[in-house]
Amino acid sequence: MVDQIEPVAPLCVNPACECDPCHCSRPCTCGVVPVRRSAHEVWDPDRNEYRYIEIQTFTPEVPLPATGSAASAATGPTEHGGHGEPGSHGAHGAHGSHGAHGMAPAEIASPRLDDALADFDGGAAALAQVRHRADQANAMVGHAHDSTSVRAAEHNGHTIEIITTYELRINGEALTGHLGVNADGTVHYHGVPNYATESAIDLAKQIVDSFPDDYARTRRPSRPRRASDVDPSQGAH
Amino acid sequence: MAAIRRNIVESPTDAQRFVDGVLALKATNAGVRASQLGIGAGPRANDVDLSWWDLFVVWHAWSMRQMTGGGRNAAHSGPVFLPWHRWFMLILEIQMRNLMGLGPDDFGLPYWDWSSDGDLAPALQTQAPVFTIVGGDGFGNDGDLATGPFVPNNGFVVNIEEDQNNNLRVTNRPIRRDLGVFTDRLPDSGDIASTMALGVYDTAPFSADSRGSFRNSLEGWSGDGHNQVHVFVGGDMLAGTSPNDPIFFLNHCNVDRLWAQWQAASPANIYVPTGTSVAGDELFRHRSNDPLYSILTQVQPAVSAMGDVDRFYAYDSLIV
Repeated sequence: MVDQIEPVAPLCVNPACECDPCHCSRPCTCGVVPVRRSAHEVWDPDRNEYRYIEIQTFTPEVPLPATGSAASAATGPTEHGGHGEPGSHGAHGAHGSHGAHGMAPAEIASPRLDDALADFDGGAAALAQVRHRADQANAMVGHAHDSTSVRAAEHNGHTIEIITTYELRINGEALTGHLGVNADGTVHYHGVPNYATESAIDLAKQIVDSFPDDYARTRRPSRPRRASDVDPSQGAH
Repeated sequence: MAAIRRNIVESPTDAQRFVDGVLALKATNAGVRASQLGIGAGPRANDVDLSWWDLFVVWHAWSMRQMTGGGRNAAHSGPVFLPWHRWFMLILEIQMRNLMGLGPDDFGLPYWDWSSDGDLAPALQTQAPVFTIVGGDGFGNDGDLATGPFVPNNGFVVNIEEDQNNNLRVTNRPIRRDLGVFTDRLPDSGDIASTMALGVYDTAPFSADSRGSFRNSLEGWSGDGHNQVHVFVGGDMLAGTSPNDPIFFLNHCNVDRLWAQWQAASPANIYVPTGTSVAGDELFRHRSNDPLYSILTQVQPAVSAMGDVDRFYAYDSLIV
């Protein structure tokens, strides 16, 4: 088995740059990327420290299965920007392998569902994985919640960029979750991933209605709203 | 043989096993406290021993923090939405059987065929039969659930929630629902027919902005689908911790059934985008060879591994 450190996209730490390090809205264009101290670490601007990154383990000698629709999808042509070799991304029998840095576990991908199911013990080993993942998850929580969105389009040979920044306050207190704009102009908030509304006011009302422990209800919301009151793309997770 | 996943309102045995399985997961201490996972205190509680049920809530919430590009995260608003939830539910189903002492063929997660209820008049949809099994609307200003089996008297309290700033925190309260408040209708059979007619799994830009995409329509960004069910139920189903409400799994089991139906309809109905990406790529975790985000296993199945699960479960009804 061969452990390989995957390349990681650099995180911009230029304080003058308004990009979004989580890549959820505005990409870095300034080119200032003093980010990586080693192959295992990236700079976390929120914690002002280097953080370990997750690595993946590859076993190039293990081929993907060649039957079924899943296999046909897996072995199809790689689309733009695909990295690595289709069919080389497995780790059968690699249980117990850990990342070289000793903090986060190696993330082992297998094309065989049986490998992953066999790795689930419903007990101590699973719980150990949860503990390992907590560090990674909490590191991601610290990502910047910049509420800037960039919508881009090409029209008649011209490049259009619409940059929208929101600052949402409720009872005078600014919300720190990400608020952004979809390509169709509807507005969404990460904390209520189920809604995209045409109006930021309506979205703010939904936030108030969705967190009664933070915004006490004097009464139960008295709608029903008609389905048409929210965008057809209303969604949830 | 494989487990059979049945319509919950047509199988009292599976409905009862689902209730028992949920309560068993909720009653079983996983052996870790919220604070040990970096989850902070809330206004109702400071810390708590997490149950196995709570770990699934945390897993889902953490998946939403693994942002890639285009508004996608490791489980939503992109192609991996369907495979990731298939994996998520498969592990839950296995753990339910483990705790109930059932064999692999003895129990499959039931589904809620919500589009059949969506064909009812809006005033009747909040009275759909599923709500007699899992409890109905909430009560009081906050919409606290007080009917059905998933109530504090049965040991079911919500332990983990998100605050208004999208941070996880500890709590101690009933499940909350606002049935039919934020939208008064479920997706109906016409909505599903439109989704099933789409012949491409996903389309660029592989996000909530995709159009002509089976996945995006079923997820509910470009049509009325799974998302609207969350909104219809309201309460805890509105946040990233939506698996707090067991009805989450009935919704997603139906979504998975519809995907299985679409897969079976034609050999051309395959997953895209193919290939492999790495952390930092815009489509990381969404290409066919990418690992599914999992917190309960070290070995993470590739997205493509979820394309064929016939050996593990089957649905009682696939209308192709």
